[in-house]
Amino acid sequence: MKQNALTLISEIEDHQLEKLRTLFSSRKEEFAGELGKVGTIQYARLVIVDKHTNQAGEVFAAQLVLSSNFDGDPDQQIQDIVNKIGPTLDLIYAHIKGYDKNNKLEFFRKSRTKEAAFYQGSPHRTLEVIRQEKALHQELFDLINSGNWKGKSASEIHESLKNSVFSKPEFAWAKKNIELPGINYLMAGFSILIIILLLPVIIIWVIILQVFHENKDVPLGLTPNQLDLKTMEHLEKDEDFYWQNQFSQVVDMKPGMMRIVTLLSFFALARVLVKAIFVKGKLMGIPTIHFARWVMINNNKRVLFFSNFDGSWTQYLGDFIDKSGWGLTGIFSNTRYFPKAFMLVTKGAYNQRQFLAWARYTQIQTQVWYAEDKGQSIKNINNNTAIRNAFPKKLTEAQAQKLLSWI
Amino acid sequence: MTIDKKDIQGFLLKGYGKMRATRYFLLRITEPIPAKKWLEKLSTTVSDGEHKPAEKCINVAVTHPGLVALGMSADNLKDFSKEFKEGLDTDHRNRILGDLGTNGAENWEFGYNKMRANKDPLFTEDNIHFILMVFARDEEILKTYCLEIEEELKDHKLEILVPLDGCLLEDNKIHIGFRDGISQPGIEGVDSDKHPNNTVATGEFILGYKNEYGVYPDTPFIYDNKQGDVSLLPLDPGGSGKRDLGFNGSYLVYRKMEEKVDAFWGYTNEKTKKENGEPDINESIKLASKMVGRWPNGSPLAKFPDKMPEGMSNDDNFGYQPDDKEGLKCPFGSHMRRNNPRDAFEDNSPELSVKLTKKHRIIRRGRSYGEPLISTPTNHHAKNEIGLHFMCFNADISDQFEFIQHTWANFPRFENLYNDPDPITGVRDVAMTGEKLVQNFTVQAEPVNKCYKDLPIFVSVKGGAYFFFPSISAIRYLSTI
Repeated sequence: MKQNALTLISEIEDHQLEKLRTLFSSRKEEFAGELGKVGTIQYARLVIVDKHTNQAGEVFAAQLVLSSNFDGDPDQQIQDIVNKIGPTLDLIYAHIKGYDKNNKLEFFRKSRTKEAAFYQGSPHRTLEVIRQEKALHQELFDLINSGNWKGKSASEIHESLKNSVFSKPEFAWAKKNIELPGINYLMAGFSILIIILLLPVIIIWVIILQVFHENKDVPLGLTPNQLDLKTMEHLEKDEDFYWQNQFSQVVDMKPGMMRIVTLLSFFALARVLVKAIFVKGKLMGIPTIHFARWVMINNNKRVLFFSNFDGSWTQYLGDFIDKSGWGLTGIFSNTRYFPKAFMLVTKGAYNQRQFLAWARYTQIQTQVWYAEDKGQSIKNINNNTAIRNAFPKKLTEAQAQKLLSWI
Repeated sequence: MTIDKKDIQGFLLKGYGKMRATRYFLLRITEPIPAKKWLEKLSTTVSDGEHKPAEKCINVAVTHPGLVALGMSADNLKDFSKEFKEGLDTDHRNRILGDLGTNGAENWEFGYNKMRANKDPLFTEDNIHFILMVFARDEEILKTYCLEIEEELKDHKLEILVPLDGCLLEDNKIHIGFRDGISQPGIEGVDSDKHPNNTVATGEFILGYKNEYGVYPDTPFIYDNKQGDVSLLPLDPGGSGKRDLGFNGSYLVYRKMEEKVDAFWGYTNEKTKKENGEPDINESIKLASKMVGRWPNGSPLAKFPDKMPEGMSNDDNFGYQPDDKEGLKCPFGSHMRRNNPRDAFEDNSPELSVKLTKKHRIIRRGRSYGEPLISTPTNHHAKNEIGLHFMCFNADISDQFEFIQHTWANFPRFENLYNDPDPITGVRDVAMTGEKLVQNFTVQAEPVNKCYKDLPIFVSVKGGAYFFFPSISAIRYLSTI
């Protein structure tokens, strides 16, 4: 089954904003638990995007974003949410403009906004599969640690483990492999070809962008030590209670059609890459990201970015610079305050001090945060799958040894 | 690039290995004017980076409350790093550093921010303002020198909160029984004798130079040019035109850490005992070495996986690729491998691993405290508390010390591990929210990995603080504000 992303965006009544904020801060754990009750959600969050005036003086009303990663089909997900946690939604959405509790389905269908790009760290694995594979790993770990394997070869141990595990009916599912997406070389090659063909246009485009836009744009220009301590405290108070963390961010587009076209082209490329190449648990080489999504909001005037990652914020952002600084720069240099880029994909994020400050400056609070298992790392999830797919097979001694090293 | 070692306090560039006895004074300013007089005098007596002390020397560092107490203006304080301004003890920092439960700041001997808990509105009464580090060749010299220093502190109305005695033990071992401080990064432009993989950009340790990202680390600029004699300070090398108070300085992290050697050897003895229940000394030492990543004499497991070679070792010239990619020699979870992954960080190429690792190095400066016990499987009973005055230098506390402690030492999912914190410095007795506390140490092996369960705390935090370690010009400047 496929995992999909759902992003529901609605407008908060002006006079209800503070009430909603208070509601979230007093009952965030309870609401997170409710999202879990839907039963098909892997990750979800409720985020308030505050009222905002952009550079051009346009005013955007405060918005509530409900986003989820779930198993199955988006419309089914909307129905599930409505059917399973309707009363909670009524409580929250009572603060929302145009909400009609007697006609929830239609309201949520209308508030759906498509993601511009969506990456998942463990594609094709449903909640059930993730739970099963975790249990299999634990079972194998316990068997290995309680057995005496002196003098046995890896193949013999593997066979013995197979006998034990498959004698238990609850592991019958493990006899069958799970199908995983492979790297789609054809699609990757094809997109590279298109880029090569378009190269003359791209180069001219980038030069125009540099001369007429980037040269004039003003970056935030701060370093992390110059940020307001209170803002940082506000964000950090929700971080590092679990080994997994969340990141929510909203940024203004820089003015001009060129910026929008550039960004949308990048997202088109990103959509191809996440389908064709980044299907093995790494986004641009970064192995700690559970998911990442970009959503254009307010008529392409602003960009939302949501993600879950393992470990520390510092590592997360540092990894981005080291491994995909150019990609990040290509995307976010089209948005306001980003450190100055050169020719679209250089400098920018590589200005480490300014980049870190920009990331914190544009980060927003995640009011309600749900994940099925905030302790499990994405590497563990993928390792469990690797174990599951190797385990039922007939393995050579070297393959069996490899498998045992994963446990 | 020339680095003016005479402007840098010596402890940043050298470990003062010949100075076997130390005393660290944690000080509080009671009156700013005499304190500044003291700094003025100190600026002529602190040991610089060229100085090779034969008998004794001193270095000094200051906390954020210390700068406030000296009267530094808010404008001139604002560019100090967030970590330094907030101090070691904040709720969030406790979580990332693992300072919870037994290690919790409320149990510390000093450095606990009482202001935060609102227990004591007069929090400044025990705030640490300075650390004065006194080094001497031996106990005798130290004693005499400290008498003189104490007199001077009294004259300048500096209150001694705690005197902390320390020493270097035989063979530079620490109480836990292992040779320490072998792997130190070389500083570009200062150390020419280190391997390029182990030579790190100057700006990772000294403010005012470029770091491994190719940018200048954050540094405290002067905004209020009327405060003090700013002509004593150099201009920002980045070209902003501002005076740079941080130039040739660094940040110093200090943590007092108790070493529970009884628990340590008790655990390894128990886990390796023979079938008849007798202890197996060799196996106990081997397990302990697997946890550390080196043998007690300092030899790296990556080179000597089976048996400890003779003599003492300073061997720092090795990596984990390609010979130990699987962790069969030096386990992935060992203290040394995870705190400095060298050329094997995650599944990156050796070149990329080195590049990434270099962004998270620290210069360590440890001194032991308590009776001079170097413990072994058969001798691990200390009469009183023993431990380590852990210190390290870094230009960016968040990206270096805190990164290492959080992302590498504490994070139990490090590499492909599941429930393995750093067995030496990452074990805790408080679980993360909603989790059961499971703490193992895995020795990668064939045909199956060997997992040692239920790690207890071997090292516990007893106090500490974040300091700014000023250049000698900056000390002089601070005396004029």
